[in-house]
Amino acid sequence: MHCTQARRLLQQGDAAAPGDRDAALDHLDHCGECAALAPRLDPVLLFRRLPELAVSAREVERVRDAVSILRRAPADPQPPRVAGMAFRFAAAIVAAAGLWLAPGPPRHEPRPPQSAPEARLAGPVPLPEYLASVETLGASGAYVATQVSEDDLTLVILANVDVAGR
Amino acid sequence: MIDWSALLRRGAVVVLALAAAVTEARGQAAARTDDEPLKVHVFTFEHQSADDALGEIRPLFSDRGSVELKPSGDTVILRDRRGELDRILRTLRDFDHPRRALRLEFQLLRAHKVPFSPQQLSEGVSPALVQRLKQVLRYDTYESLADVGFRSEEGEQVAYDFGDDLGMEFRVGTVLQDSRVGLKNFRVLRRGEGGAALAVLHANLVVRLGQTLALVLMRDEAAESALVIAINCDSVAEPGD
Repeated sequence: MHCTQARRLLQQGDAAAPGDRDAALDHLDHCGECAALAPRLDPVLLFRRLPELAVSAREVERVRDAVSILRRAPADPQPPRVAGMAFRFAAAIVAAAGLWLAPGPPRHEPRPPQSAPEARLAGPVPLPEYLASVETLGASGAYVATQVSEDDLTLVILANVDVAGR
Repeated sequence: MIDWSALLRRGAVVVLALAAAVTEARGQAAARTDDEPLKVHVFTFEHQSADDALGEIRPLFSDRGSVELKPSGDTVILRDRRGELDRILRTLRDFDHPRRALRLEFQLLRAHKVPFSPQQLSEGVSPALVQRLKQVLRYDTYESLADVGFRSEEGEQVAYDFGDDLGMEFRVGTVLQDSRVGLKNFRVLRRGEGGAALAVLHANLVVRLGQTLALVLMRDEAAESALVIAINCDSVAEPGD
């Protein structure tokens, strides 16, 4: 297919016959000039060939660390920002791909409305305000067996302490 | 007629364009940050201990930052990017406040198991404290061995003998965020027959101001008795406050 013909078909967008459009898209894979011009002919083609993601080894390592942290602490309400960026970006790509492949609106007769189950939210969950009352312990062998923290009292049980002198 | 398919495709283009733009901008910002030269700042403490401050500021450094403590002990040399350095300096200026007076109270209790006693009396101990202890511990009676309250201040070294064979010593740390204070090198000492003091506990403690910290010291969970040290610490209002 010649460049002129391909550009004309691409400019037609969805109006072009599917076979012709596919042939024009194949032409883009082999013609850099047309590929560069394609987004101006049809903006949808801007992301037809996404550039290869340039991800450094350091970034991969940081994301991997973030994932391992999430595995250790699944209830952590604030995952690391790097992981959040990566997941948001991935979610955006997946969502966009889903939209791209969507066949369009359903063409069936509307059904009568059904009563959907009522959504219930658990409500805000208070985060525990934890403060270690024993920061460090010396080499006496003592250890913190339990810590109970309330508003007006923190109780720490220290075991393996030789207090039998009295 | 509305072409839903084309609209959805263009929506996808907008989403992808936004995501790509955000990612690119963040990448450029990160690259600029890595290239940013480090700043150096020398900070000299006037009131508080530089040692105590290190634990507070350490989490604020970036992976390129560093801190050096001068041999004089009251000066630190900080290196980091401007943003991190600003946060660290704000923290240090708040930390290095004039020494504050504090009111410290210690109550020493002996907790016992009394399996066959119909009466479980606790003498000389606040009923509220006993009630709270009984909710957590399985001891029946609480006997007050000593009770002391005194005024101290940040940075002061404290030593106190509860009796002939039991004592404690510690250094009062710096009040942080108006809410907590550390008791540094807190030692519970027990004197043996020869008079030599043995540290049965050596710890760094954190006490919330206005709250009771109860340390329950025991040999093991099956012990028939335990020692309870109830600590209260609060600010003392200075004239002019």
